[in-house]
Amino acid sequence: MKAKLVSIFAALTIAMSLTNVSIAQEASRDFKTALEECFWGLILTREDQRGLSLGLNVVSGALGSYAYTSATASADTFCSEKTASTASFINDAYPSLVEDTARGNGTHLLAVLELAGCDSKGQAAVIPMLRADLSSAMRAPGYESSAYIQKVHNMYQSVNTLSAQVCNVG
Amino acid sequence: MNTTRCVAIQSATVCGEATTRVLRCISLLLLWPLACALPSIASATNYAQLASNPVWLTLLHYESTRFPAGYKSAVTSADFFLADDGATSPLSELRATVQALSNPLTALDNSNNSAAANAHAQCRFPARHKWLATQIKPLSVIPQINCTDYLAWAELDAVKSLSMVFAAGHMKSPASYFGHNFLKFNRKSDSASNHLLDQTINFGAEVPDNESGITYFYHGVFGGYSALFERQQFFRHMNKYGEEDLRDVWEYELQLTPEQVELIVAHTWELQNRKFTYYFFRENCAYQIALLLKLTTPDRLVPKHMPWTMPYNVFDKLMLAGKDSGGLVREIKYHPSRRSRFHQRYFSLSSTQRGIAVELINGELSPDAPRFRQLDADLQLQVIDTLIDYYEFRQRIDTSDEKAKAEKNALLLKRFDYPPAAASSIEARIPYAPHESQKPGYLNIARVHSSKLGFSTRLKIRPAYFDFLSLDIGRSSAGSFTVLDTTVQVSNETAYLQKLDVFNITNLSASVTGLPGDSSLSWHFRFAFDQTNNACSKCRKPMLDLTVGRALKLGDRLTAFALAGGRVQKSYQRDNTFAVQLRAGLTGQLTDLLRLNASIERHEDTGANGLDRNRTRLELRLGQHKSWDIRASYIRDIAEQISLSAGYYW
Repeated sequence: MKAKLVSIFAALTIAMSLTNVSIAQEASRDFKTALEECFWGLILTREDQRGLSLGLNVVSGALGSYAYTSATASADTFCSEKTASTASFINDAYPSLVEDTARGNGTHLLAVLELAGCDSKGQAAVIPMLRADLSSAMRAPGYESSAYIQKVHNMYQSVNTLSAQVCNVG
Repeated sequence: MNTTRCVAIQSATVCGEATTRVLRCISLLLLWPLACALPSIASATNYAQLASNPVWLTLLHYESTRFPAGYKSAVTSADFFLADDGATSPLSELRATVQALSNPLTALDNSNNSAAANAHAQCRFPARHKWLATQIKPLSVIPQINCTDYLAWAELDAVKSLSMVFAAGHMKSPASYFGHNFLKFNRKSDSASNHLLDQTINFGAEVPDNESGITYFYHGVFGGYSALFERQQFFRHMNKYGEEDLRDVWEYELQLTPEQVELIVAHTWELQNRKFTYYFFRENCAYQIALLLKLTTPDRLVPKHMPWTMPYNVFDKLMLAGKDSGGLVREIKYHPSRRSRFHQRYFSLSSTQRGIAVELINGELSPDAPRFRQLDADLQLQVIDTLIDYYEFRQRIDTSDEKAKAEKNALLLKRFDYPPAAASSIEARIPYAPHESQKPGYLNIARVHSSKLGFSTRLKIRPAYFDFLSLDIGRSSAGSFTVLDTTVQVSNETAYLQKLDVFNITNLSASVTGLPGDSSLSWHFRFAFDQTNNACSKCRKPMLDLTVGRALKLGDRLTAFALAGGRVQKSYQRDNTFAVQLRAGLTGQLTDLLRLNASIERHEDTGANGLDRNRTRLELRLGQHKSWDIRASYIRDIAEQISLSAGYYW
């Protein structure tokens, strides 16, 4: 299992480093679609637990400036309450989260790691790695001009992958 | 004897419905000895008395009606009621609820995380169950249904306390002028997990996208929108209010027992997806959220005889509630907006650091320059953190500010070069809490002398909200915002309406730091029925003013402004005339006890019967009390006018 996660992480890292603009846009669309479908799915299948209903509005609103696409997305694997919460948190609080990550400390950073299932011991180990990831991403050409949702997507991948790797989050 | 017979009847019914499930019937008989204690419950209970208990009426959101005399629930969802006439009959609903809570469930269903268990009345209405069990003793000993969905949702073990939260008003949207409030469920947590992930309960209207302003106003005022309570995590509010809208947020943590906390949590579960009708003025967020606390305190948190409810009213009353038992509020916490954080950080810097910050902003200095590097690392970080807030704030005001975006990114990259550390601490200047601000209603009586009209008495009344002479506590910008401000003049035994300001808003957005971008457009809008000049008591016309301009902070207390625009009004020939308006002024606190509003205005009328003129206004307020003031004014227009008045805020 651990080897599988490491290989996924390695593949993601390589893929991210080689990603060109068009692939990045495709990924953005997929991520957005998955996020929306995830909320719809949670609402439809868990109608008795309605806490997430507003999430759809929030996510739809936040992503409203991006044209909806029916591009296929692996929502099945993406969609669980935990991952949806993590993704929507990053989507909502990205500017603050980036600031905290650059500082290596802060309530937004700790909150997203908690959402990702990382306990305080794991957080201490993940934060320097997350910091290094973001530092590399922000220094890469094209970061500033990339779409907001693309940045959110990259952060989401980084948080999830590192939490899975370091905090033993399944 | 009664109980035994009843169990038999109930069992027969259940078994008759599922004759093949013999085991279930046996387990039911074992598990549910009191299931049919209802007749004895009924005989022992004064239902009529219980049905009029304030807690029961609150749990069902009943409101008294006059025609016909009785009750009607504010909840419009039929599935919120167990009796057919439950929406209008507290007594029927009480009987139906007791019956439903006592209904048996097989042991298998109860132990199996089943849909049947989660659909049971105990699980659908845990607050009713919890409270009724304290009132009807047999209900406290009936078997408990295993409500897995509810328990997973409520996280009862995790919730430590409740807070009533206030988001300050702002001028971007009429729906936000008066602020907003919601409830927060504070988790038991001392460390990493933080308040951002706490759950909240918010009440809001369901407004379709792209609704026009007129439709929005009409439906908002006359009940055209449905509304509901929704749960979301606190970070969403902090992002919306603190980051996007740049509004400060205050948290009033409540002094409640664990049982009271659980009752409210349970009731918010009952309210999930239940529809209400939204009324902007009365049954709004402030009203409905305050009503939830009625489950815990006999004190009223909403004004009884007012046709409107403002968040301020609720927090004002919240501070007065439970005085006999030590007060309802345990602690007040302040969550500054991005704008406030930036200002606080900036003013926490030394003069040397501020000078360096300005040079960095102007591009005269780089973070890599030796002069910057010579500062202690902590001092460098304080400057960098301040500028990160500054550039993020600028982007929030103007999303097209590419320079701010690039500069912030550059600073973040620089921040990576330093060792990990929390954001530099702020020497916070905690502002006054919202409940300390001026009360919104105002009644003023004045003695006036006019050089043209002689002596008169003037009576002014308005329901909301603040003018230039009101205390500037609990609001984000200087200026004024009054609604239905009505002035009646009495002279020579004749009373007449001198002025009705339907809306009068002046939003002064002044730069606090003097840094580029630390302000936005100031503006004034007014729709009124008013005198066209102050020498003619009966010359009153409808008029519409719109001016825009800039404001400038002078020290900590005063704001200067200049506005230009125009006025459209009915002329004496009943056609419309247009006047160009120029206005400059100075407003703010002169001393702790003396507040000033001074302005000069120029009107250039384009109509044939218009009146070009200058107008000078000087107003002073004495006193810093939230409930009263003394005012003096001098106005020079066509006539000169002086006045002395006393005012009462309510």
